[in-house]
Amino acid sequence: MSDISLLKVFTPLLIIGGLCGALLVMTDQLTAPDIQANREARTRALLEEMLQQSLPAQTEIDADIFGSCSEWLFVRTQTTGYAGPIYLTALWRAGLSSEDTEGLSLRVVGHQETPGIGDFIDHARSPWITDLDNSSARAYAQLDAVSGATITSNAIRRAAGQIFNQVEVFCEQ
Amino acid sequence: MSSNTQVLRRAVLTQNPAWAQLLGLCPLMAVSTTVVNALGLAAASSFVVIGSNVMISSLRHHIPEQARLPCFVLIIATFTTVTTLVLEAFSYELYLKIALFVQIIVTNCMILGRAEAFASRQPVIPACFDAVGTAVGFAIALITLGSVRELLAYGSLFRDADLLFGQRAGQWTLQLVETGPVPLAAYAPGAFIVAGLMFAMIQGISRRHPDVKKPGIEGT
Repeated sequence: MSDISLLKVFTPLLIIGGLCGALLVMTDQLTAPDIQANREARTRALLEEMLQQSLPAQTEIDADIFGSCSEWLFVRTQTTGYAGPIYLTALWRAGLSSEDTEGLSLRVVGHQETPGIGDFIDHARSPWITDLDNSSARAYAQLDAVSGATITSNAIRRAAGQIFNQVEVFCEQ
Repeated sequence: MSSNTQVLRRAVLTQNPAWAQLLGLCPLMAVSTTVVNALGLAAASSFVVIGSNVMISSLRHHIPEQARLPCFVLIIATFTTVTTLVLEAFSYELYLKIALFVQIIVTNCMILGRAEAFASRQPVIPACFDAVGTAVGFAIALITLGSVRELLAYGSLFRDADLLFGQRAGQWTLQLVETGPVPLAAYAPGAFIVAGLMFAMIQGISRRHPDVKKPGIEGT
């Protein structure tokens, strides 16, 4: 294809791309505040449901780890599943001195695991993860792999260990 | 009958994307579990098909023949993204339920088919009529299938209307039977069975009707 033909093909494509881009930027500007508010409200609702009490209004729920080491901490983390990253929000409740008195509850807030096979980690689809609520580090470490979704269930077990380590580091500081 | 009305009639009835051309069946099967879900997807698909048809028709003299498919996909993807953003901003709960199927509107062959066969060759007004007809035809199929499936699966109509119409619409649910007589209708196999029976019935009726032409994918 000659240079002139290439120019004839790509120039309109670029102009149309520019028009489409402008439309998208305009829509993004108009909808961004509402989308942000909706996402925050959903996150807050999830956290309050896990904690079973209201969060103080000034709580910065965007932080990767927040709360108090003497009561509860929320931790945001990610691990690698079968089909990509699995994003988790965890609630760690303080216990006494032994690891068995600590409780960890997990919720998957984003994943790409296979529907019908690996999506049992989604609390909206299966009670698998909610049944583990307030489990200890030892219980998570001894978690049985789920038949047919070993990589997914191992990813959750790995994430739980990772969260316990994060909590330990955070509380030592 | 004017040519625009003929275009509209053909797009809604004789060349209905769902029951005559069997296009766009993936979202049709997946989202038609309730009337409200069906309405949400119908509105989203309508916006995309009308917006993209009008834009493609307006730019048809500037779209190079060799690059027409990338241009069409670019325009359709833009309108799909706009729809997704608007849905996420103003109907978040519904977005969480049907977002995946709104996003795949971009690959919906019904929309690309109308762009290629009609909008890229016709002026804006007929292209707009064709898009409206296609959107209405798809919406009729979606809402009919959604109504039948919701009735069979849950024994109700308009459940979860608050997702689309706000909190006051929570009272709109019509519980006609205490429990759904055929719970299978809520799942994918039920969708295929109900859609198959519905399409067969429509084909049967249209064959008996002397005025209805044999369905086919016509462009111009």
